[in-house]
Amino acid sequence: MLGRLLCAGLMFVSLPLAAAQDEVKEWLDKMAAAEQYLNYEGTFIYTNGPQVETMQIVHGFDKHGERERMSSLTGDVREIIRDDQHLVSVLPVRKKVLIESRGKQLSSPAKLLEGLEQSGAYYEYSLKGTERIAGHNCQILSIYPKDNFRYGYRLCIEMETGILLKSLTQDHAGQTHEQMMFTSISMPEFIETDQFHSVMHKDDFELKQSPDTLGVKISAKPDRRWVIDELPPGFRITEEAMRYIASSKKPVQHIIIDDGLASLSVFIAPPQKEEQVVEGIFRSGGLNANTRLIADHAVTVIGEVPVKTVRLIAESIRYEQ
Amino acid sequence: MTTQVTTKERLSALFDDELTEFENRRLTSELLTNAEHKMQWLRYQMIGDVMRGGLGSQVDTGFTDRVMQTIHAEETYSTPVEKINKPRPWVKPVAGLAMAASVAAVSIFALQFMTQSGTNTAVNVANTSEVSTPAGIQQVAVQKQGEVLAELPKAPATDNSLVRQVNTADIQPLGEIQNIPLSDPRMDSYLATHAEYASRPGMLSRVRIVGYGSPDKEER
Repeated sequence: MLGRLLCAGLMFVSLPLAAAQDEVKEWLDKMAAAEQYLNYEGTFIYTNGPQVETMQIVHGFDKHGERERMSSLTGDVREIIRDDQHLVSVLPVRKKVLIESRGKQLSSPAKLLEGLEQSGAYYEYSLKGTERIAGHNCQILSIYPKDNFRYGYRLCIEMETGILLKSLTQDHAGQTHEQMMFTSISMPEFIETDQFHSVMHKDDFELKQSPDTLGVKISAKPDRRWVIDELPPGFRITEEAMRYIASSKKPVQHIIIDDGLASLSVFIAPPQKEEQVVEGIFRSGGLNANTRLIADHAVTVIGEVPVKTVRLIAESIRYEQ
Repeated sequence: MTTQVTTKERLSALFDDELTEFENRRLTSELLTNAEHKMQWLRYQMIGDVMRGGLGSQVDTGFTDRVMQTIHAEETYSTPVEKINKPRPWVKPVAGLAMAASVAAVSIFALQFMTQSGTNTAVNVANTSEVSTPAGIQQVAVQKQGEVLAELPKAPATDNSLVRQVNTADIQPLGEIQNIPLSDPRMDSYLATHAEYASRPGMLSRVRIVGYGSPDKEER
């Protein structure tokens, strides 16, 4: 009898929570689909700590697939362009252009929902009313981290289309580490192809292209002697692969760790010739990184998680001789 | 702190014409007497100018600098800095180029880095010509289904095997949280690869690629 009462009580408590969580998932699903499949162009403000930047985005999906150009309008000019197969970074200050291949492992809406199922124990999902951003009404979603190993998010998703209009990255204590907010946005039916062409590159820029974007197949296998002794609660290794990157002739070992929502990458690369490794802990808004030299390899842990998390993982990595 | 946040919200509301006439008069009076609030109001005005001014050429390029000066003057934002002080006698960590103490060392570093990069480029360009470069075009192009996505510059092919060296004057103790080092040639690729392969949907992962490299961030 007591068991039945307890079960009934638990159902009474959990049903509304489950319903709220389902609703949040629907919004996130809508957001992920909108980001991938809709045409939109607009201007937004990005704050990263005390840094404020204005940026522009043009995104399209048509018979050519998904295409996007994002560029900075203030400060250091930078631009990224991507299609279904390439991500091109144009870095005028360094007169450099990088061409990387695109991955699809985690960026589909279906994968997002899978991840949410896994992450439920570590985040609280809730709806928080509506707001008006850039002339559009949007639904506020709160994703609150239950511990300080991960960040939470406060999102505002456009009611009709699902486009993300505003995003705050916050830690467990509620401190905001970065914000993005559209100041103007439109959803045109058609976007001209030239809108996706680089406007920043110059003839004297140095080009670096990942070999796999040129059709070079990778033959190296991940070295299993690399071991991660400890992961924060809820995190697990989801993929381990060798990848080509534009800024290195040799492939790097890439280990992906995630908790269903937050993700980290571990990159393991041998130093190039007598290159010194820039060791340390690095931050850019909601992104933290820790680079260490381990067994003569440059090991970089990078992810949208607190410093504590990247540091814990970086210090847990070792090479079994 | 609570008062400050409230004032910011009220300033924001004033900016958006959402205050009543009474609140408007009261806040305007406060603005005239409180230098900090005056700065905050100026900051909102500048953001508003950008919002109303449209894109491209209408954006005041000094906007960010002025906002930054204002923010620094206010010193209201603070990010907790977590430090580690684990001694590592077996390796000397290196600071970013922006932190270099010696101009000469930076020059040597940059020259050698560029010449080493040229070796990579030579390989890339050779491969590119087999895959996607249209005959006769002077630039390398990324192509998909016959359409040029972005025409990119062709770098000169060199055969220089100079190795990169780092001056010990650049070394700084491991422990402080730094801005992502622009001098690390791999970091751009890591950011892009992480965004593409590991990040969940959300344009923020790509915003970070565009947004992390401001020169003033490098210098701080």
